[in-house]
Amino acid sequence: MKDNKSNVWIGGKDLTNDPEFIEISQQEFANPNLVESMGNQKVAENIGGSRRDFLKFLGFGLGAATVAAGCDIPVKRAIPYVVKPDSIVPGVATYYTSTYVNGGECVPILIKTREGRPIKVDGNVSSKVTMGGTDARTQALVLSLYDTSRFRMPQVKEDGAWTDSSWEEIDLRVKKALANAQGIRIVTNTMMSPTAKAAVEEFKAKYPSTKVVTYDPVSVAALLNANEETFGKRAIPTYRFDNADVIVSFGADFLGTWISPIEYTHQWSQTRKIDDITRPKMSRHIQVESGMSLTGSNADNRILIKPSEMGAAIAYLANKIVGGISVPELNEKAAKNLEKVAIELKAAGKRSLIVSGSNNKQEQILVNAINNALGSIGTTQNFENASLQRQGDEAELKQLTTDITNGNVDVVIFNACNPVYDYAGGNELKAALEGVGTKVAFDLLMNETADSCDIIAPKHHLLESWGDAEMKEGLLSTIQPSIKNLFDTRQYEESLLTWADSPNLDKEATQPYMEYLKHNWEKTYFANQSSFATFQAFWDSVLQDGVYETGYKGETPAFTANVAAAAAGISKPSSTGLEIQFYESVSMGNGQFANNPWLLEMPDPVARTSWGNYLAVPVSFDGVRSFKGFEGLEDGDLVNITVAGKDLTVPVIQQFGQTKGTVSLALGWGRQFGPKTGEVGVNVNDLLTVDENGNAHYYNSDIQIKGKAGKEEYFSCVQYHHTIGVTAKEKGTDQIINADEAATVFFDYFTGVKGFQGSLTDRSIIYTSNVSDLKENVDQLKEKRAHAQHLNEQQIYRGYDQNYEMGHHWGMNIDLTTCTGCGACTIACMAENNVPVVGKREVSRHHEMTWLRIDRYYYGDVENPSTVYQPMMCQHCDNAPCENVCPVNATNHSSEGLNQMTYNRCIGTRYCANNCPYKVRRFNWMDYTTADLFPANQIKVADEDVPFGADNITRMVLNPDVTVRSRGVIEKCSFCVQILQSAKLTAKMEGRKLNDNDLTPCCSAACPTGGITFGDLNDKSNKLTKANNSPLSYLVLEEVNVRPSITYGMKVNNRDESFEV
Amino acid sequence: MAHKNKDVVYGLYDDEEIMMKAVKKANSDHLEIMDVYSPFPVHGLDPLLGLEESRLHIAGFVFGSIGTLTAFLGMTWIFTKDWPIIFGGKPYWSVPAFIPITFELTVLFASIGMVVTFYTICGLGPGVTNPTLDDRITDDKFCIAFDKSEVSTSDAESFFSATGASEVNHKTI
Amino acid sequence: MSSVVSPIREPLVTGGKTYHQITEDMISTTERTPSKPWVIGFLLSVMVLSFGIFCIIWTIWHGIGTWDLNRTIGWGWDITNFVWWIGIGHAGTLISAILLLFRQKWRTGVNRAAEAMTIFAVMCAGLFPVIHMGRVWLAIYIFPYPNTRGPLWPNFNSPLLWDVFAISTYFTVSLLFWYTGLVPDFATIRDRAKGFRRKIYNFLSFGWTGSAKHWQRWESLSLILAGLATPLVLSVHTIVSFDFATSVIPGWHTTIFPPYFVAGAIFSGFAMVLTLMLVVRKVLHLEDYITLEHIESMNKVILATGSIVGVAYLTELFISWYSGYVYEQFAFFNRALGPYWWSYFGMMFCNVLSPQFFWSKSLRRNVLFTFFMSIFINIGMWFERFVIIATTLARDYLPSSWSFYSPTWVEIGIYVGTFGLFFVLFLIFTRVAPTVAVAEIKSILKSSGDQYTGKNAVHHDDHGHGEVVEEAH
Repeated sequence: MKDNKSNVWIGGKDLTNDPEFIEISQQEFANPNLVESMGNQKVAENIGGSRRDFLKFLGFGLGAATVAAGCDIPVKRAIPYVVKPDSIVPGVATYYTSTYVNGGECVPILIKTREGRPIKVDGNVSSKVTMGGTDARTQALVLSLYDTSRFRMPQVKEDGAWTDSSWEEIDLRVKKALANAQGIRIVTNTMMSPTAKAAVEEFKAKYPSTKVVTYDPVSVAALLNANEETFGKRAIPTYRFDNADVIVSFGADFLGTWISPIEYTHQWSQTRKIDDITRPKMSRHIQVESGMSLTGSNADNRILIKPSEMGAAIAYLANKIVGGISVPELNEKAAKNLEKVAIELKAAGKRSLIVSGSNNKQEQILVNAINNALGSIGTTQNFENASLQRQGDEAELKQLTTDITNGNVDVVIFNACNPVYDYAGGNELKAALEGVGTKVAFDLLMNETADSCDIIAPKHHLLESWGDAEMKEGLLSTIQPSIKNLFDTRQYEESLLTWADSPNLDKEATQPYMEYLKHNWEKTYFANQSSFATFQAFWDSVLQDGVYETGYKGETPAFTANVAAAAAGISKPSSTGLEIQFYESVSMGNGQFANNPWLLEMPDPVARTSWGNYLAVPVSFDGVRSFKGFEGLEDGDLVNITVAGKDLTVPVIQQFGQTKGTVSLALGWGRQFGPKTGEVGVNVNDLLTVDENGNAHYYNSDIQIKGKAGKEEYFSCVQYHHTIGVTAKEKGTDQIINADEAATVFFDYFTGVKGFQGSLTDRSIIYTSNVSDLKENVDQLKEKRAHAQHLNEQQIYRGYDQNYEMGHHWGMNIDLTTCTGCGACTIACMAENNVPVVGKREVSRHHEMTWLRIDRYYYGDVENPSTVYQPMMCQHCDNAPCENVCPVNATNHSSEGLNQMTYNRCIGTRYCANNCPYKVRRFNWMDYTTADLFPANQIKVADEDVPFGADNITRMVLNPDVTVRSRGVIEKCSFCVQILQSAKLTAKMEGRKLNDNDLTPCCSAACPTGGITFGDLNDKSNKLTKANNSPLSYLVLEEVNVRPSITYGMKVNNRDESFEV
Repeated sequence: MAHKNKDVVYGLYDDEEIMMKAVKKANSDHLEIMDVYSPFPVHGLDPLLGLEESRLHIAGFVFGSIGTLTAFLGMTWIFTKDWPIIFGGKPYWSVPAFIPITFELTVLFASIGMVVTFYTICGLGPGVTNPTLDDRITDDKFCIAFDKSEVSTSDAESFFSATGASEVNHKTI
Repeated sequence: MSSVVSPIREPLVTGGKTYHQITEDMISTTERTPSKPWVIGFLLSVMVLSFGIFCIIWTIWHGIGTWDLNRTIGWGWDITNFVWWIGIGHAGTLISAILLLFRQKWRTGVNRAAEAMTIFAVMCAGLFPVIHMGRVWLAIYIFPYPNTRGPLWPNFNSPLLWDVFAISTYFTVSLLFWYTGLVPDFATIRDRAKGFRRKIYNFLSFGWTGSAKHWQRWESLSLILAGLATPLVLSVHTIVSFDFATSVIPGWHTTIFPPYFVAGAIFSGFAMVLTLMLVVRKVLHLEDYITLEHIESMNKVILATGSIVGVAYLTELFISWYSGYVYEQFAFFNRALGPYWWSYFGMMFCNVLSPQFFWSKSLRRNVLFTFFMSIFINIGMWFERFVIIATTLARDYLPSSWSFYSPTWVEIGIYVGTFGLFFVLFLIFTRVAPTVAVAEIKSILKSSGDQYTGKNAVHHDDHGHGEVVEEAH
């Protein structure tokens, strides 16, 4: 009963422990059995079936059964309010600040709860780091809370099989083990929480033989160590991409996955915005890489090298800038280009920034040397608030393995990390672990590492936890629960403190760790501030803001290094032909998200593939008529490859911009324990090479392609056609021709899945320009639009615009220049609008349901193209073709210019979808939401026992404001009409006009670059009108005269065409 | 279509042309023919029998017009008065879009109306049983029938024998 | 028997029939016990139909997801089959209505069966728009009926709704037209029948007596219905073509569609009529009533409409090029050379090239050749609809959404099933009603049969009706 207090947590106020309040809360909550029964998988899944059942579990969330009164089905086991907590108004959302932390990833967030259920995550705008931005992983956080495969209670392994246990039992066992342990290890990913660290210290104090092993699933250890050596500070500087005129990235995917992508994306986008087309200013971004990364696809120029040439490339540039460095031999195209880069950098001087994703210490030292020589340290990077978002070093894991094998370790505690899977030496570690007496894992879900332990002390999900995080020195953010723990779990900090018999942990408190946390903050941060008199007031405001700045400003130390020595230690290009590069995918990380269907189904921004990792092979144009994949491999082929003696069979995707002689494969797939997904993709972590410093290198030069092994059964790629007018050299003449045009002739028949073919020039879908010739491109655009508008005048119904002249007329503006394609909006949309997950098979049949997709096209040179990302959703056309053709009025136009779907009127003729020029309408081919009567057609996302979303736990993620669509109806983007309505309501109640900040559909709220602007077209003074008035604005397919409400901003890049491609 | 019983004397002919000549003769002899039955429409017979042209087409026109109005006014009322909805930026009263349905309903009303009229005025319809003089009439015989109340049996018989009827029969219907 | 021949044109009824023989030949088919081929054919059709029904249930139970349509291609075989069947249906109406208006006596041999075919084809066609719905059980929403949802009406702007009205009107009118024609013949059957059978046919014949006045009204009714049916049949396929013509999709948005679809409909319809009539003619021994004369005339129509369709195809190509509109150009380029090239060339070969053989009189009068040709044309016309629907959708404006489509066994099963439905109905029809309009045949016997007795009759030999001939002079 007592510990239920957490879930009426509504910020500081209630901490006053006002007895009356406790009184009330104690009456309110479900009897404990409820939680217990939830603990039991079967009970949980055998309850009920209807789509509205999710409400019934409000019982243990909050006992907010009053809402369930709205249901027309009997609500089982719901406990009505005796006295309604005044913080809960059924139908009104409550927001909590918190922080999304996953190892080194840290994003201050705002959690939206409805009737006590967290249903949506937004960025916390008060954060100085992320500026309210989010990424796909953050958006997908809520789903992992309701993961049915989470541990329901502590587990112990008895003769090889996991059995349910109790906290008392495992506390006993662990303490006993710890008591007479000679060597204790806590293995963790980067730990940013000061309070958790304090807890660990207490633990160490109790058990002196404890050592903490920190590593990161995807390592930047080299960078940290290099900084330690050159700056005497083992930390990551705060990069200021927004201060840089020239950005050079040596394989660092800083827009997608590298360290703090949201922060960097925001900064980067600041330097890309075109305000004045007469004097356009834009940073230069050069990416040196092998595979096409998200960052590379957004770069102005890409310099293509083999993974093993990275060192040589860095050294080459270092030699040009710093001088006196011996450079290994480098392919001369890259060399020529780096020559040019050096000149640009010298010109830019201290307003330049070089970053590197290399995990070779010496290479990172050279990078620092270059930055130092350019004087950029202090301007584009500084240590004032050094980032703590990566602290690990996988070398420690190597050490751990040896320690264990030498028998110096008898207790290992894994803090929700999975080295057995994601560490290059995972298999050795697994083998070694056999010999360890006691192995404990704090985890949400079973994973490879936990499975090789013998005790699992399941931790709270983040949304159930208390905590804090110091993502940068002096920049803290807090974590507070937004729901009571669903299952019988315990925060790992609390477990540690319990085992350490900490005197500071009040076991009697309703929430021991909360008390501990407050205590810690009181003596550290409250003590060192002056603005608040009482700790309560201080604590309240901190929780309110979710972020706290201590005002700490560190020194940026001077650079000292033996550059020549470093140059000697760089990785040497390998002479052999083919090389394979391993990269962290935006959706999967290094496997941490393998159990999150939203992320599994999220198409890779670049490859547009989902549900697995695909071997990216280079594409070239044969100079006559057809695009040829490397070694004749085509999309969807299964291919046998041998890497370092290990055989793999992987599906292929032809990847434009992939360096010749290289292939790429994503990390993080092939998780053995993704219970919801079965095994998807292949695990490549054991193919990584490890250098003498113990640093993992994300490529391998020992690879052969053994040939095709048939076709991938379910080739789930959501975009088959990739190009919009790529150019190539014509055979013989060597003239530059439009390869797409050429490829149309004598198309190779019988292969519909081959995306190519299409005379794609002059399609008014994408407009691109280079900063240099922006003027004439804008003029051309103006002409084109004038022509289209002239055509559109010729219509039988003239001037029926008055439909929309009154009141609101919603519209949107999407800036293609700042859109990096990161995919945050797509996942935000799935979360907000209850978009179903359909699974691999259905995706491979083009049945994906995403309301908002991000089309990706390549243009420019076929070998080294530029990329444009185009978020595409319902355009809410004022002359909507879909509306005319619906026989039953299921779709029609609102007076506010919304193209609205009436699901319960829809009979599913699909005529509207056929007649949509943008192909954004989605049909419920089968019962994806398990919402209708026919059990037979419920789709299993993977091999789960019940269809995904059919169980009552997963259904708790549904947004009650949005109808769950049943089989046989069409659905599509609604401009988040539910958000618009509530915004209007709020404004009305506050008796004011709507302003820009009220109107944030989830996609624009999620966007880290602010590239999506939403507003009222009838309001001539708002952000939207300003954006739409830009000469770069255009309407997709304007000449079709459907009058879309979404305006796109021309894609402008700063490509230097003189670069060798 | 006899409603009260009639005594009928009728002759059967093997060929429509003989029958036609017989009809002509009947007219010249001022014999009141009750009705003529044939297995198929015999052209040129109507004037001889003094049947004026059918007015079915007028019925057709009337029903058709009703259809037109129903459709057009109906749609107009629905989209402008009953529940105006915006479709693809069209005006509520988007006349061109109404044309197809208006046309279809016109045809539908006209056809159904006419067919119903036809069967009604002919006294035909499902389940109706009209007394027939001879089964062979629907096969290959052409029949001229006199109502004994108007034409004496003797006149009729002499007439039939004169005009080469293959059979003469008496029947009460 | 005498054989008196009109020098003006070939007789439409041969074999020197008397009225009674005509009756015998026609009606006896409904009186005999079913022949072996009939029984076999019937059982076969029933089996095929049952499979079709199974596939439909499968679709409704599991969802449209059992078809391989996808986010890009929302219509495939379903609507293709719909348009195809409708097209086939049209010939019946045309033969009976238009040819009646034009006083084309040769229609009498085939119109009955043709009309029957129309009705059955429309039934098959009507099936598809219904089952292609995601939520069939709510199909009633497409009708304007007073409901409890307030003033909630269908969308009269939607071509799909126009279809609803067009198809139902078309079906009703064809049915009335057909049945009115059947009434006198049912009477004939009645008067030959005994006992229970007589009761049934008495019911069916509506108490027909053959009175002169009835015949007069009957004729004028037929004439006006024909007058109505003619614009109707044109409107129906025009409206079907609106499904595509009024859209915004390149390759669909085409003003040429209405005439082109109508021509295509006549084309495929006549082909189907031929396919059926040639079989019926053989099986029911109606060579004297469905003569080479009939076959040749129909082949001429096929040649004409086939060429019209051909011109339409070429016009499309020209216009797409001439439009200078890249999407339009690509749409047609893709039709011809895209991944569905085979369906385009199938269409071109079957519809445009093959009918050109009919320039030769000998081929026009060659029964076997005509039969195969008619099959060809039906295939070709199916391809045409597939090309228009599926290949157009597969690659339209946004290259990002291009995809590919091929049917699942369910879709194929449903299509095959409609053949089952069609033939079950048609075979039953051949048993319960005369497949040739008896009364009408009789009425033309003397004017266009080989017993022509009008002017310039040439006397061949002399018994039986010699006297009659004299009289005629």
